[in-house]
Amino acid sequence: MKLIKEKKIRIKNENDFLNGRGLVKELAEEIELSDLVKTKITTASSEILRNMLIHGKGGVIIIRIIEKDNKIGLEVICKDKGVGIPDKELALQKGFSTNKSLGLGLPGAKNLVDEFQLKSELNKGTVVKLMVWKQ
Amino acid sequence: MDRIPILKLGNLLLITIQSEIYDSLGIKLLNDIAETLEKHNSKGILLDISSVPIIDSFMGRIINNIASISGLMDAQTVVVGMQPAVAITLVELGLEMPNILTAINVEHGIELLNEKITKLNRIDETDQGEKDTD
Ligand SMILES: Nc1ncnc2c1ncn2[C@@H]1O[C@H](COP(=O)(O)OP(=O)(O)OP(=O)(O)O)[C@@H](O)[C@H]1O
Ligand SMILES: [Mg+2]
Repeated sequence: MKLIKEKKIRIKNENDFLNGRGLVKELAEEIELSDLVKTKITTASSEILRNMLIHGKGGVIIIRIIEKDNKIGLEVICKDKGVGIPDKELALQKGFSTNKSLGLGLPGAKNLVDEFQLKSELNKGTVVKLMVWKQ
Repeated sequence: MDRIPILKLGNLLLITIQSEIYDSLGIKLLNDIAETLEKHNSKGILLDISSVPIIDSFMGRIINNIASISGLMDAQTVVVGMQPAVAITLVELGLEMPNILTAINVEHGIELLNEKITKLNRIDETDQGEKDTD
């Protein structure tokens, strides 16, 4: 696996959220992902970034262009040091929300990408990793 | 402060979202639409999203809310020009938009709204009691 490019932004407010989302789109365009895959990874990132602001009290987004086995991919990692998720399986169920919201963000984001990872520890923080590969 | 303009076209309102849209802008738009509907007593809303590249669950919900609130205020909403990638992404995200009428462009949207509005007027005149309010 080879790291080709990496960008990192702190996420504390709506403006950072927009910049983070914009950067995902920009790097997706740089590696010429299809319009659909670009829209999917940007939308998934939007969900995870919002979770980070609302539930995680902000954090950091790391966006990487990666090469592996002659394939090129985009990886998006969102990390926060917020309250964490006590039951990850439950949080990944459609409709589960501690916020009286739709509970779509996590399961929806998972459904939109090729690879998805959720790591979380109570009172320590949450890390979500999204990955799409160029066809 | 950013704001999305609302244009009055006879008894319709035309809203063209040209920039990228985010949460606070969406909430402002929802409030502005409700106020403008009341002020002009408009009967239909055309929401042109043909240049919107990303609609996530939050924005999708704002669009659903625009349709429900306008419905309560006796106006129909038509969403115009949703990009195919955006539509597919919304479905895979799991966001349902059950009561949304759609059209491929503004012209078709206006036709669709005028049809709906005339139909509703006719129902109002003939049998008010049997109006379907599901
Ligand atoms: N970064 C995070 N830190 C702490 N808890 C989180 C984080 N992300 C998600 N959660 C928890 O997981 C739940 C499910 O998240 P999900 O994004 O699916 O739904 P939601 O944010 O509540 O609603 P929606 O995204 O539909 O508006 C949240 O309600 C919250 O309890
Ligand atoms: Mg969420």
